[in-house]
Amino acid sequence: MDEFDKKLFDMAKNEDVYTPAGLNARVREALDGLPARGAGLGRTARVALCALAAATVLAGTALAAFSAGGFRSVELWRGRDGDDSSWYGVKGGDYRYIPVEELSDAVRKIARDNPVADTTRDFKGKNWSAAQELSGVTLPANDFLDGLEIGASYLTVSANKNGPTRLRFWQGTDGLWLTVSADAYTELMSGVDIHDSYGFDGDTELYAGEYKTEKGLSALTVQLKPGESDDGLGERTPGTERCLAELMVGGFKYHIRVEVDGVNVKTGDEALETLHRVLDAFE
Amino acid sequence: MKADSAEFERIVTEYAPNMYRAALAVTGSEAAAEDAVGEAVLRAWRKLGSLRDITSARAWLTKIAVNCARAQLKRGREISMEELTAEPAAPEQDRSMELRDAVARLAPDRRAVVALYYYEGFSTREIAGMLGVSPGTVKSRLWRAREDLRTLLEG
Repeated sequence: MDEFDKKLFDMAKNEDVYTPAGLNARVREALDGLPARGAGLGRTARVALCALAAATVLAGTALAAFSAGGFRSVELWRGRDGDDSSWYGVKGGDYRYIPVEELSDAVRKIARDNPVADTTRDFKGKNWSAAQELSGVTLPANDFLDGLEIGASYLTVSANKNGPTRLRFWQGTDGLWLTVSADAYTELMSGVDIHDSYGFDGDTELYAGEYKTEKGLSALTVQLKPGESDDGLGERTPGTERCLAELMVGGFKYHIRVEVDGVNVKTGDEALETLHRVLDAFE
Repeated sequence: MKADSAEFERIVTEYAPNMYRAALAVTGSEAAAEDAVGEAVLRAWRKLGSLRDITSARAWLTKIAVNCARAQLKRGREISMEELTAEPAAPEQDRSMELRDAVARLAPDRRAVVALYYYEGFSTREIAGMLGVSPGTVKSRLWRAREDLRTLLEG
C-alpha cells in the first residue's frame, strides 16, 4: 500500500458521512411495504399512480398555462404473492389493503385528503423527481431532445402565447413518464414507434396506444421496453417493462405506471393487462 | 437461507448506513442514495434465498445497494436548463475537497469500486464477486480511480 492509498483509506475513514434522518424513514417504509413471503413470490407488479390537479390540460392550444393546479404524488403498490391477495399502500407509511375495484375511490380520497399547493416549477417528491418545468419558452421537441441521452431528465416547456409544446417527458427516479400535447398525441395514437422520431437512446422503445375503459374513458397508454439492465445483483437481465397510462377523470389527471420485473412477451402482456384492469376501475 | 422477517429487518436496519454510504459514493446524491437503499431493501427481500450465510449479510446488502445505485445513475438525474446549456467545467484541483466530492466526479464504474474498497473495506476479490466482474477488472478500475483521485485531490 503506497502513501496515497493510505491517504485514501484515512480520508474515507475520517469522512463525516452524513446519514440523513430520512434514511431511517425510507428503510422503515421499505420494510413496512414488503410483500408477504410465500410460494410463487418472485415478481411484483407495482402500480404507481400520480394525481395531478384539475387545471392541467392536454389539448393543443389550451396548454397556454400549465397551471394553477397543484401536484401531489402518491404511490400505490400492488404486490402479487401468487395467492390473489393484492395490497396497496400509500407512500408515507400508511399502507393498507385496497382491492383494485376500489382503487378509484382510494385515489379520490387521497386527492381529497391531501390538498395540493400551487404548482411549483420544481416539484420533487420522495422517490420521485420531475424535470424542472419552465414556462415562457417554446422549443420544438426534436431540437430539445437532440444530443440528450436517455438517462437525462428532459425539461418540459410550457406553452406560451407562441404555441403549445409538442412533448413533455419526465424522467423520474424509477420510471419514464410521457405526456403529450394534442398534436403529438395524434401521432402517438397511431401506435407509431416513436423511438427514432424522438431520439431515444439505443435499446429503448416506446409503443403508444389508446385504451378505452369499460366506462368509455380514453386513456393514453405507453409500453416502455428498455434494453438490458441490472437486476440489483449484478446480473444482466432484460430491462423492466413498464406500461404507463394517462387519463383524465373528474377533473383530475392520473398517471399510472405498472412495472414488472423481468421481460418476456408474457410478462409484458401481463403488465399491460394489469394496467387495463386498473384503468377499468376508474369511473 | 431461511430467515424470517424479523431477522431480515434486523440486518437491514443494522447495515442500512453501510448501504447508504456505498450508494452515496456511487450516486453522489443523498436523495438518489436513499432511493437506492429503499429499492435495495425490496430486492434483497425478494432474493433472500440467495443469502447463504448470515455473516455475509453486510456484503450481500451492500452489493445490492451498489447495484441499485448504479441503476439509479443509468436512469438519469434531474437537470436544470442552466446545466443543460452550460459549457462543461474544466477539471480543477481543490485541495480542500473531500473524498466524497472527488469520488462523485469519477466515472460510475470507478465510483462503485472506490466505495466498496475504501469506504467499506472489501477486498478486490470480494468486490469482483459483488459486481460480477473479474478481480483483474476491479484492480484496473481501482488503478484508474486512484489516478483520477490523485489529480483531483493533489493536482
